[in-house]
Amino acid sequence: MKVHAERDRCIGAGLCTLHAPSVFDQEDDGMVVVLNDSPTGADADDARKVAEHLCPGKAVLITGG
Amino acid sequence: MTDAETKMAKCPVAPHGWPNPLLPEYDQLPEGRPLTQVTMPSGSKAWLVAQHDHIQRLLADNRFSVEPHPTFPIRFPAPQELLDMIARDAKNLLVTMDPPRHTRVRQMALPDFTIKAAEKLRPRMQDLIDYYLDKMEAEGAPADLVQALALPFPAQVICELAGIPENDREIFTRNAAIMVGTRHSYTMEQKLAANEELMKYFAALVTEKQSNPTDDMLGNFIARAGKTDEFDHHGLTLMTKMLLLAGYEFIVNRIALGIQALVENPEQLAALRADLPGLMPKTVDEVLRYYSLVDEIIARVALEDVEIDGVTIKAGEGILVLKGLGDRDPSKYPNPDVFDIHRDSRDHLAFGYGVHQCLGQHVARLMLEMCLTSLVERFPGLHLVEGDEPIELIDGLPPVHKLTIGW
Ligand code: HEM
Ligand code: SF4
Repeated sequence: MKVHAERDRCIGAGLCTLHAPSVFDQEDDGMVVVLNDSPTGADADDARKVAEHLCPGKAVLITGG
Repeated sequence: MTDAETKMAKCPVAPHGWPNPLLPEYDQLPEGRPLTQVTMPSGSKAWLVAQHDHIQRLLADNRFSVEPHPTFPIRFPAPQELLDMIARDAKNLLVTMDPPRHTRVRQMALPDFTIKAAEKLRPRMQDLIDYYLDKMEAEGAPADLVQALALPFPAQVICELAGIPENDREIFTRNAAIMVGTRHSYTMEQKLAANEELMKYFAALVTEKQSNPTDDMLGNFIARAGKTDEFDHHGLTLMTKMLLLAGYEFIVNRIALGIQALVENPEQLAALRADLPGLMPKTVDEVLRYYSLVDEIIARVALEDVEIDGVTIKAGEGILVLKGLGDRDPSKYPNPDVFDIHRDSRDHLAFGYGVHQCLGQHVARLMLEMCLTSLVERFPGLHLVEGDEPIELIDGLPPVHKLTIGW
């Protein structure tokens, strides 16, 4: 699984960092940065939840299983 | 049209008469809550959106606008004069701007609303909570939690975050309490006068912070705005006032309602008390989900035809997003009317969705989490005192006015 975040779409809501803190971080300007682009286990589940249901900017993309 | 749709057609006409689970009209929504068309007081068409999935899809869709538009769904019969005023002010308010301007202005405020920025407030928030709870305890039970904590605490936090000088906070707290107060307590004249005093105050504050920049939320916002031509002085005054007032009523309500929900569910309160750090984040989300319905609805207007689930929302038609019902959607949350701190409510809609999702959500979460934690830790015998109706429904709008507790 690969996690990618599009800064252009990010609105800085920080939900990614709140719910998957080992995968994402929110920089000082509010925008997302990916900390771990190949999470596994529970981190992978959290990242998928962020991408599918939580990120209000639809800025998180996940490829691969 | 089915019977249900015919009935719904009248629903949003009354000033605040939208369907709300606290009200009988809730039952009038058609089975399965499909998109339902209604006619607004102005005669324009709008759609009620009550499914969780529809709400997320439509609020994340940039073919919908929040800017004034001749057919924007307004729930009350508004005189042209009022509409003109709303349209004038809307140009300067983040909540009523579309991208790309919305993106530019939101980014000017964002650095002071990140998770890290909110976390910096934690020690100071604890001091404030301890101060208010010491005072409440010293005065003895029973106490009104709204007056003792839920109203004054967020006001102090928001003022400190924003950089309102200590001596001026009384101007904000006094007028903000009137503006979010119930219509039982204050007349429309009092509310207008409060708004006028706040406008005067913020106009002076903008001038002051323009000439003497400060490192706080408003100081930073005004400095960043000063490097652009997004706002004139009046625009900055409106925008700064909005940044302070936007979530005030919402957070006051959540602190009181959160405690109410926990006290009414003693086994959950006991479970929470046994594992505060483990269960508090879920509890916060569940309080937000469960009481999502106490806020105003969210409205948008379609700029193009939008197809969704076989329905075409035509360009110029509005949507009325019933986020409180989305947060009680049984296809998303089984037994939605049950308060359950063990469920996964992380994708609740209390803060909205899409580019306008609440800017203050991390500050709000932290305030709620810390208030609930302190009350639960400190008062093992916390209970509601009989005889109060904590949610006062006025025209369907339920601000919490009083919550009497003992301990
Ligand atoms: C539990 C408390 C709160 C709730 C439930 C809440 C809810 C919301 C909702 C639903 C929206 C979206 C409105 C829309 O899409 O039209 C919103 C936007 C906003 N909220 Fe909150 N809010 C809360 C607390 C706060 C606080 C404490 C602040 C500020 C200190 C705040 C500042 C804002 C701002 C500035 C916006 C506009 C964002 C934009 O348009 O980009 N909110 N809030
Ligand atoms: S949740 Fe989405 S929009 Fe919010 S900060 Fe993360 S990537 Fe950006």
